[in-house]
Parts: sequence; C-alpha cells; structure tokens
Amino acid sequence: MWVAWLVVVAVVVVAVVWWFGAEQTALRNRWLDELHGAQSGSLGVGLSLLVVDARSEEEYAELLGREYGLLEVVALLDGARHAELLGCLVERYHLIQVEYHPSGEFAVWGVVGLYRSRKRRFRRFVVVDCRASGFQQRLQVAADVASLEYLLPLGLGEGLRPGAVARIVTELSLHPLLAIDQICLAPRMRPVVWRRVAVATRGGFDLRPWSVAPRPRRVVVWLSPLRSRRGSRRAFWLDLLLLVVWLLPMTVWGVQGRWLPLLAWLLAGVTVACCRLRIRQLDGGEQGE
Amino acid sequence: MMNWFYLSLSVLCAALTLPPFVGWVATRLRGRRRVRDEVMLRRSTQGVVLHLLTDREGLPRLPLERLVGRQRMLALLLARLGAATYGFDPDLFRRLMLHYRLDRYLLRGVRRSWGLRRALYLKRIADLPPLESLRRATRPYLYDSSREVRFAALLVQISAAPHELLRLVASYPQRLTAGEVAELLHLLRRGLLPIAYRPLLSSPNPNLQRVGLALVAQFDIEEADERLLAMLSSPSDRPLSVAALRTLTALHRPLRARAVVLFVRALPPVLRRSLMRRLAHEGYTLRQVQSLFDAEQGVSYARMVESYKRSLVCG
Repeated sequence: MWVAWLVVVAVVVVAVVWWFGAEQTALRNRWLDELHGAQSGSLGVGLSLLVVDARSEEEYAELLGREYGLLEVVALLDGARHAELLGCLVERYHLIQVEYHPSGEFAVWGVVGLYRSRKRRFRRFVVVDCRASGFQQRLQVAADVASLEYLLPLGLGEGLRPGAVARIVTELSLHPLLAIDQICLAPRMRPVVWRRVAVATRGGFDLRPWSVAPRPRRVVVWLSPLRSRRGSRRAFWLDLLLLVVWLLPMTVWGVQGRWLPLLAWLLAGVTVACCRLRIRQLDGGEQGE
Repeated sequence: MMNWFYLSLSVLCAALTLPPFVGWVATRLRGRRRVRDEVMLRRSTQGVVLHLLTDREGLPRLPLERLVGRQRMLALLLARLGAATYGFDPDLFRRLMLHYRLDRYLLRGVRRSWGLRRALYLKRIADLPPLESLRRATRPYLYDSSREVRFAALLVQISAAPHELLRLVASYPQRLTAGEVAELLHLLRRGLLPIAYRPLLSSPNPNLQRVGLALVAQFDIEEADERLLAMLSSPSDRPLSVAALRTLTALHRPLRARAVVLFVRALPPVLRRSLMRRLAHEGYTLRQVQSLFDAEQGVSYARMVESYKRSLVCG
C-alpha cells in the first residue's frame, strides 16, 4: 500500500511542477508577444519548417502564410503516391525541378527530385520528391535540403499554433547568436526546434527520449508550439483511465468506512485534475491578459 | 502514523488545488468578457481618433470608463494607438493618462510584481507617451536582477529621453541580443530615435555598434560598407564581426574585399558551411564568393547554387 501512496505523491508532484512550468511558459509567451522584432523581420534568425508527410494544399498555403521573412517550408512528398498533389503544387507555386546534390552532412537516400519556385514571392517553398520511408530518414532528407539555421520538424498530423513562429524566432533572438541548439518541450524533454549545425555534427536527428542538448544550449518550454490531432484523442483515453483508477479505491474505502485515506485520495485526485485543467487551458491559448 | 500521513497529504493537496483552480476560473471569466471588452475598446479607440482628428478641447468620453479594469484597458488602447500611428501630438494621451491615473496604476503594478510580470508592466509604460514621473520612478529598475526587467526599464528611459540613447545603451551592463536591438529599432520607427549610424558604428562600445549594424541593415545604407569592412579587419570581438558579415550578406554587398576573405577563411569549417548555405540562399553566384573558399568548398558551393537552378541540355 505504501507503494501506491508513493506513486500518488509522485503524480501530484509531477502535476504541480508541470502546472507551474506551464504558467511560466505562458507568462514568457506574453513577454515574447510584446516584442516586435519578428514583425519587422530584423531578427536575422532563419527557421526551416520540415513537413515530412503529405498535406492538403490549404495546409501548405497556411504554413507559407506565416508572416516572417526568414521562414522556409521544406515539404516532402512521395511523387508516386501523391502525383496529383505534386502536380497541383507545381502549378500553384510555379515550381521547376532543379538539380539535387546531397550536402554530405546527412546520410540520405530516395530523393527523386527537388523543386523550387521560379517566382520570387514563393522562393521560400521547397518540395522534395522522396521515396524514403521512416520518419527519421525523411527528416534527414528534409534537413539536408533546408538552408536556414534552425529546423522545426512537423510530424504526422502536427501543425503550428497561431503566433508560434514569431515566438520561436523571438525567443532564439533573445540569446547570443546561435547559442541555442534546441528548444525542448517539457516534461518529456522532446526537442521541437533543432539547430541544423548541431544535428549535422551528431550525424542526424537523435529522437530517443531525453537525448537533449546540455543545459546552457537548450531552452525548455512547457507549452507546445505545435498542435496535434492525435494528442487530443490520447488525452481523452488517459483521462478516462485516470478517472477509473481514481474512483475504484475510493469506492472500496467508502464501503469500509475509512474516511481519512478516502479524503487524502480524493484531494490528491482533485489537485491533479485542477492542474491538468489549467494546463489544458493554457495550452489552448486562453491566457487572457 | 498513517493517519498523520493522510491528514498531511490532504492539507497539502487542498492548498495546492487553489492556485490552478483560481487561475482557471479567472481566465474563464475574462474569456467571457473578452468580446464585450473588445467592443468597448473599439468604440473608445474611435472616440479618441475622432477627438484627435477634429482637434476638440477637453477629453473624449470613453465607453470603457464604465468597465472593471478600465485602467488596464486604457493602457492597452493607448499602446495600440501609439503603435499604429505616427507623428501625432501625444498631449491628449498624456492628459488621458493623468485623468485616469494610469501612471499610478502602472507603477503600482511594477512595484507589486517581479520577474516577467514586472517587465510586462514596464514594457506597457514604454509603449505609452512618456511622463517624467514614470521615467524617474522606473530608473531603479535598470539594476534589477531580471534581465527582462532591466531591458524593459531601458526601453522606458529611451522612450522618455531619446536624446540620451547613446549614453543609456552604452551604459547597459549586458551585451544586447538581436531581439533586443530589434526592439530598439522599433522605437526608431515610432520616430523616437535619431538615425545617425556613423557615431554608432564608430563607437568602441559593442552595444552601440550592434544598434548601428541593425540600422544599416534596416535602411540598406550602402555608405556603411567601409565601416563594416573595418569591423572585420579587427576581429577582437568575434560575435560583432560575425554580425557585421551577416549584415553585408543580408544587404547583398560585394564580398571580394581582403578583410572579408581573411575573416571567412579564419572561421571554423562548420561556420563556413553555414555561411555557404546562407550565401546560396541570398543568391550569391560562385564567381562572387569564389575567393572566400578553397577548391573543395568551391565545388560544394557550386552544387548548392546549382540546386537553385535547372540545367538545360541543348542538342
């Protein structure tokens, strides 16, 4: 029984620390929103969005619509499976097929074609026709083609929250030039933004959990700049599981008339629930002023 | 003993539940008022703009004066108007600030908060027309322990006294980052700062040189090339020399000067590759940058440039 209570205490501690971190990140986001550098485009920090799965035309247009000058969108498609989409993109953005030469910094294979736009206004859109499978391999192909200093991979079904690009580049610009190798999402410490040179030096993306840059070279955030369709479904099932785990012992204690452990268990659950409620509210952007 | 454990855990959890729950409730309530507040803000903005355009006497009647939190809303209104307009007479804004005691509200907020909240209040003060009382009262925060508070206090001082820019930036204790310099340039675009870049680039102070570099990049000042090359020739301050080189490339200036060649060849290979990618992205041809790289790097650069073109084979 001691083990169960230790787990409960640990869960409460994690929830409270997570909530506190989310509040600090929300406050930091308000500070970043107050600064104007990203609007003026005078920050000098380049960001390449790596879109490794096929999206709709509207989603690519939405990513390209982010108003920041030094932003590049590198889109990976399998031309054999998505020939119609590739054709639509070529027509819409006036793309031409250009020469592709691997940079030698990453182990890449499967690139059939590289497309860039003839029009200056679409110069920051790059499409790669790639047959490689595997998320990590596709990431490396996209990173090989990217030309700006920082990389922001978008996984399957992931998108950007409003204002995410401006906040990321503003945060990076508030540190000495190229001093930050990663922006990591706590508490799992998953890198969301990578410095290209650091990735190339390591020979590729290291996607193992907790394989992050040392403390002075990373920025930790507790609210994700990305939004995920998968995340909301996973959260629902997790909530359901937690509710069952929470109610069962309370029912047993209630029947047995053991009110003190029931009260402690109840309040621990309420604390975790309030922290999750507040974190989800901050994550959803309902910060108010 | 178990009872003590249960009781302690219950009390601790009850205490820890309050802050997130109160935050959640407060944000929900604010969210419900948001639509109404935006409408009041818009109407009040129209009232102020009409008053400015028709040059009326006295103060305009503002719908938001009936709201809870009217001082916060008024500060937001004046900051937004100040950011969206240029060259207007700030006298009306100052009279509104004094009439609604906005200076006391903001100073109270600064004193009662710390860290980023204090920086946000100071930033709001910097976005408003300057009042001497606010400038004096916020001067001690130039020495706060939080970097954001120090920078926001610097913005307040510069906003209130633009002629003291050189002294204030030179005496700022930390190296200004690119983001902070960009914020200073934003003050310039509000018409608050002089645009004389020569004294800034010639100054021995690295912060002033950074502001000068940002001015040159922002306004595409070609006459500054000589000074930028001089910064590369004496790379005692490596980050500043890298910033000077990035300014030259951002302006697409010629890179054949001896100072540029020597500086680039002295860079570590990793930084040189990063520079190559940036040059290709900016559209420099191989001939324009050939002198910067050795034979092997020249081949890599040629391939990078080719990846921006389609080769046509005739015949």
